[in-house]
Amino acid sequence: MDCVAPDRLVDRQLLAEARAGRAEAIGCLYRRHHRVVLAFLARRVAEPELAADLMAETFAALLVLVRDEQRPLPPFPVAWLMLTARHLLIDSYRRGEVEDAARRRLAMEPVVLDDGDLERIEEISAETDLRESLAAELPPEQFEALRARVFDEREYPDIASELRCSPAVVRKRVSRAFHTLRRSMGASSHD
Amino acid sequence: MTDFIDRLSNELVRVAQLDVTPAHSGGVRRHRMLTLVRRKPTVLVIGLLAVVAAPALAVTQPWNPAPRQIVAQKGATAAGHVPTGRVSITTQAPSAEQVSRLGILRRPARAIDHSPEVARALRQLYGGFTGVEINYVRVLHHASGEPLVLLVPAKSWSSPPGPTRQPSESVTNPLCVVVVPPSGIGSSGGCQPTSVLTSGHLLGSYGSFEYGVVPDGVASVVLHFPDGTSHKVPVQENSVALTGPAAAQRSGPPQLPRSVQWLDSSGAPVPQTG
Repeated sequence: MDCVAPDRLVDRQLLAEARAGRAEAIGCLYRRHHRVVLAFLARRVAEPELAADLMAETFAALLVLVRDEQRPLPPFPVAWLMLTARHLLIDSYRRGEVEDAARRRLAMEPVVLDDGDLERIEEISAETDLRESLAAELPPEQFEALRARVFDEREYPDIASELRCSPAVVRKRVSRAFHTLRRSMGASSHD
Repeated sequence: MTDFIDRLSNELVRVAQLDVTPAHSGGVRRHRMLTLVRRKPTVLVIGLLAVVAAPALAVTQPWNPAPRQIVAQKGATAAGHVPTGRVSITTQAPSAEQVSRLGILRRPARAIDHSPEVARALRQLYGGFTGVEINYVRVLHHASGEPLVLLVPAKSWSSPPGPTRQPSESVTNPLCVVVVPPSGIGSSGGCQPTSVLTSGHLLGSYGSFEYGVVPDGVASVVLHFPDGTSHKVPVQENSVALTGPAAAQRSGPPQLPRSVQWLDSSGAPVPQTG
């Protein structure tokens, strides 16, 4: 199974195959995108353990979705992963601990980290270019929405200045694209 | 496949292969992945578990990976005595002697032992801990409005280095008692070798709240304080906790008992060693 082809259609196919019972497909999807999810999280928390914890829950949440045939599969899985990671991160701020509902539902065994793992997380965080990675995976409008909403968290006037359009236009574009992203996440979308 | 990236991949594939109906699987899993890191300045003291009044505790914030934590860490660095480093965990058991002497370590963990409050307290441990025996952490005392007291066995523990505690001391196979105030903010406590348990000195105080750990066979203890007062306290699962009205009636500054007498279930003295 090809786990590295940089084609978002591969992601959707992997999810479909995972839903059909091909367990390795979820492993492939994880190996394709764990770096960008982990880097995103590792740059926003003080400790690499937390990033790993949040990443594990993010992918577990994806597997929960895959196993629930009542829920549509996200057309942009990497965008779904990023938004879910962001949701879990914000939720962890509020709760003071990392959510583990998906891992509990799946009866996943805990993954214990050693010092080498922690160094690896920091390496991945340092090596991964988030924008470049996601730009290669997403259509431009989806990437822009994700970037504005998830990564930059900038004010619309700033984005407008960069894109040379009015803030209202930016707001509308981001809103439309983000709405598409949220819709793609299915009925239990976050945020 | 060696690092956690691969292990998590394997675990995802493994559970994806299982014919599990999610709605029915929630109650059959182990405790969630637990990461143990020092997230905020926490002072743990060594020696005869030190007397620590609430205001003397390191002021800490609930774990929060947001920028506020960075501020807290800067403050901790400026204080100059807050150690850094990572806490490692292990699924191994405590030493055979500890397990044989403490029934609380021989019984299975209960829900309270894996509660969010305990997880939160463990996340506050600082880097002096090596090999926290995560499956054997036990709640010694919990009650509304009172400190949460945990027994935390570990492979080793080193006291915080710093200007007031030189040089750093190390304890192998320590029995650590961690006390979290009712606010949940900060913690105190200390770590001791098993010999301190058997000598009757694994005791500490938090304000007027006195706590301790005793070996199997001790049904109650009599605490004799320097002010002349004595209190008989029943033992529950190796745990001693002088709290409530008995603790409140004691006045003056926090103090450890001058001596401790152990009694068995018939009221007969139990000898201490050392």
